[in-house]
Amino acid sequence: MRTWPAVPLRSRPAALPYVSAGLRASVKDQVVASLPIVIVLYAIVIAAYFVLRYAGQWAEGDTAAITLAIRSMWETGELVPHTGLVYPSGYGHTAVSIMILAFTGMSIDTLQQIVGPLMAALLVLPALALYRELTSSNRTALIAVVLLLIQPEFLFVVLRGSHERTLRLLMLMALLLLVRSFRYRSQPAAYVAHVLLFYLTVYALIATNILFGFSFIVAIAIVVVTVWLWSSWFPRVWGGLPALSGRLTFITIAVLIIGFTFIFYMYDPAKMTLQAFNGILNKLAALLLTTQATSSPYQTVTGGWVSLPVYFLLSSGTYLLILGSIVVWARQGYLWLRGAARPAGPGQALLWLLYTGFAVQGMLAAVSDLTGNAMNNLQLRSFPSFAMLAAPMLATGLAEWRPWPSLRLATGVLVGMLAACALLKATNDPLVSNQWTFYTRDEMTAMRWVDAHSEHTHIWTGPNERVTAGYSVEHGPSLAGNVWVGTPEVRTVRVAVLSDLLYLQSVRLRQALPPAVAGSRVYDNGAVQVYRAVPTSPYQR
Amino acid sequence: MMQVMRNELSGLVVVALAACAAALFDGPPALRILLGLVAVLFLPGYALAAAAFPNREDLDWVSRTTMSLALSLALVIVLAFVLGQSPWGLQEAPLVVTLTGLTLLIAAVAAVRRSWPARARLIAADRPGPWPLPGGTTLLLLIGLGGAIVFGTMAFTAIWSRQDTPHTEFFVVGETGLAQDYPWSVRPGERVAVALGIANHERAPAQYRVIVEDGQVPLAETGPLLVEAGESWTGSVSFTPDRGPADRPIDFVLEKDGQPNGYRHLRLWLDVADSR
Repeated sequence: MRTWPAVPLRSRPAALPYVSAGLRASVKDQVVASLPIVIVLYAIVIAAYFVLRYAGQWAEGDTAAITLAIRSMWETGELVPHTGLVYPSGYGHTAVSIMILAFTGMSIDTLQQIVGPLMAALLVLPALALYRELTSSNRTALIAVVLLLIQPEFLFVVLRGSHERTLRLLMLMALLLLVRSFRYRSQPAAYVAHVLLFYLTVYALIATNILFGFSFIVAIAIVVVTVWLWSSWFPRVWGGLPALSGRLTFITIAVLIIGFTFIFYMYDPAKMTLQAFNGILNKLAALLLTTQATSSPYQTVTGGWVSLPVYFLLSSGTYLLILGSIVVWARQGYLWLRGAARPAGPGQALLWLLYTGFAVQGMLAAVSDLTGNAMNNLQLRSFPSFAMLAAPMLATGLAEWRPWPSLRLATGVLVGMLAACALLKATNDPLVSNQWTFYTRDEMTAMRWVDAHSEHTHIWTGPNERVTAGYSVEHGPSLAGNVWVGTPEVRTVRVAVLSDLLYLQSVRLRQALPPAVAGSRVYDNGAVQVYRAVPTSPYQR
Repeated sequence: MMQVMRNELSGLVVVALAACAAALFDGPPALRILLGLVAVLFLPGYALAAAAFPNREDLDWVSRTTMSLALSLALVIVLAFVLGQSPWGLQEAPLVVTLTGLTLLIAAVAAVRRSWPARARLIAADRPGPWPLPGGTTLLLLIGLGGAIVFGTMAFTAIWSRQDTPHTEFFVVGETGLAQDYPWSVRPGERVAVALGIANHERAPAQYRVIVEDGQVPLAETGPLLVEAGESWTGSVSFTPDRGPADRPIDFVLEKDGQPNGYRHLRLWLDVADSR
C-alpha cells in the first residue's frame, strides 16, 4: 500500500510553487470580475431573508395601499379605475405590476410579498453603473454599493411592496444617463440618444410618483443655484461649471413642463397630490411665530422600537453614512475652493453637487416635518434619495484609505455588524421592533370569517395595521363595508379579533384591549377568537 | 441580414414570442413566470438599448443590464398610458400582445441599426474601464446559485408556507346569518335557539360533538356530527336557561373525535331578565 510522505507544516511554501504569476493574475482577474455578481448575490440573500423571515406573510400600510391600487387597476382594466383605490401620486408602479401579472399569471399577493422583494436585488447593477460613472472608479463603486446595502432605511423601502423599488431604479437610471450625457457631448448621435432616454426615464419617474418628481426637480434646481453661486464667486474652480449650469437649467425647465403636463393633462388623480402643499406656508409661520408645543413627528418613529438605545444602535449605519459623507463632502469642497484640487470630471462634480442638492432637500424636509404638514416623516421619506448619493460620496473617501491589516479586519467586522443591524431594522424584527409586520394563517382565516359575517361594522384588529394590511394584500378591501380599527378606545367598536400575537403586541405597545373582548366569544379557530360586545340597550345589535 | 439574425437579438425575439405564447395560452406556471419576468423587466429595455447603442462595445454588461432593466420599466409605463387611452384598456391580452409587439418593433430597429456598416462607436477616454464578465464556469456557478436562491425562496413560500395549518372553525351566528343579533335577553324557562357552524380544515374527516353548558350544568348536546375534510356543518341548537344570576355566560364546547376537555370554545352572555 502506497503512503504519502507527511509534509511538516513549517516546510509548506507560502504559495504553491507550480502556480505561475500569470495564473495567479488570472485568478485575481476572475475574482475581481465576479465581484458585481457576488454583490448581486448578497442582495438576493438579503431579499430572500426578508421574504423567508416571515415565510412570505408580511405586510404594512403602504404595501397594502399599493396592492389595493394594483388590484383595482387589474380588475377594471382602467388607468384611473372607477372603483376601488386609485394611487393619486402616479400610475407607473401599478402599471408595471399589472404587466407582470398579465405575463406571469401569478397572484397579486405572490407578486407583492414574494417576487417583489426578490426583484429589489436587481437595483445593485444600476447602482454600480451610476457610482462608477460618478466616481470614475470600479473599486469606489463597489464600496459605495456595499455602503448602500447596509442602510436599513434604503433596504426597507425597496424591499416592501410600495412604488419605491420602481422609483429608485428609475432615479438611478436618470442620473446615470445625465452623467453619461456629459461625457458624450462631442458625439451628437450618442448625446441625442442619452438625452432622449433621459427624458423617457424622467417621464416614467414622474408617472411613478409625482411628489418624488418634484423632489428631483428641487434637487436639480438646488444644484443649478449652487453652480451659479460657484461660477459667480469662484470662477476658477472648474471650467466645466458654466456648461453644467446651462444644461441643468434647461433640464429643470423641461422636467417642470413634463410634470405640469402629467398633472393637468395626463393623470387627473395627481391633482390631489397638490393638496398636500396646501397651507404649508401657514403651518411654517405657525411653527416659527408661536410658542405652543406641537406633537413631534418623530415620536412614532422612535416609539416603534423596544428602546431608544436599540433604535440608535440599529440606525448607527445611517449616522455613520451621514457623518462620514459630510466630512468627505466638506473636505472635497474646501480643496476645490482653495484651488488645491479640481473635480476629476463631470461625474465627480455632479456627485458633489447632487449630494448638496439632496442634503439641502433633507434639511427642508426636516423643517416641513416640524410644521406638521400632511406628509409626515418627510425627512424619513427623503433619506433614501440622500443615501443613494451619500454612499458614493463616503466611498470616495474610503477608497483612498489604506488601513493596517488589523484595522481592515475590524472594519470588516463593523460592516458585518451594520449589515446585521440593517437587516433587523428593515424586517422590523420583533426582537427589536414594536411595529410588527408579520401575521399568521390562522389570523387570515379569522379575518375572512369576520369580514364574511359582518356588515358595516367597526372591528378592532390589533394595535397596528399588520393583520388588516395582510388581509388587504391577500384578499383586498372589505366587501361588506367593514372598518378596521386599531384604537381600542373607539366607542363604535363592537367586534374584536384577538389572537395570542395580538395580545402580546398590545402588551408590548402598552395598549389596552377593547372592551368588546369581555363580551361574547362568537368564533374560535384554536389560535384566534372573535368577540362581540354584549348589547346594553335594545337598539344595539 | 443573416449576419444580424445570428446575434442575440434573434434570441430576444424567440424569448419574447415564447413569453407571449405562454401568457396567452396559459403555459406551465414556472415557465410562464420565468419567461414573463424576462419579457417585462428585461427584453423591451434591452432592445431599446441595442437600438440606441448598436455597437456591443458601447456598453459593458453592467451598463447594458442597467439600461435593459430601467428602460423596460419606462417603456411599460409609457405603453400603459397609451393603452389606458385606447378602447382595449389595460386588459390581460392587449397588455401582453402590445408589449411583445413593441419589443419586436424596437428589436427590428436595433437589428437595422446594427446592420449599418459605418456606425460610430462611443469614445469616452475618461471613463473607467469596462467591467469584464467572469469566465464561463464562474459565471454559470454564480448565476446558478442566485437562481437557486430566488426560485427556492419563491417555491418555499408560494407552495409550502401559504398553506393553512390543519384547524377547525367553530362559530355562532345570529338570526340573519351574521355575527350580530344574538339572543341576549331571555326570560327564565324560555327556549333559546342559536345557529352554530363547524368548518373542518383538518385535511381529514372528523367527528364532532357540541355541548351547551351553563356553568358546569349541561343544557343541551348535539352530535356526533361527521364532517368531511373541507366541508362545513351548520345547524341549530336549542336550550333553556334555568333561573340563576341575571347576566351569565352560556358556553358552547366543541369536542373532536371524542377528545375530552373541548377542542374549541364559544361563549354567549345572556341576560335572564325575570330573575332580577
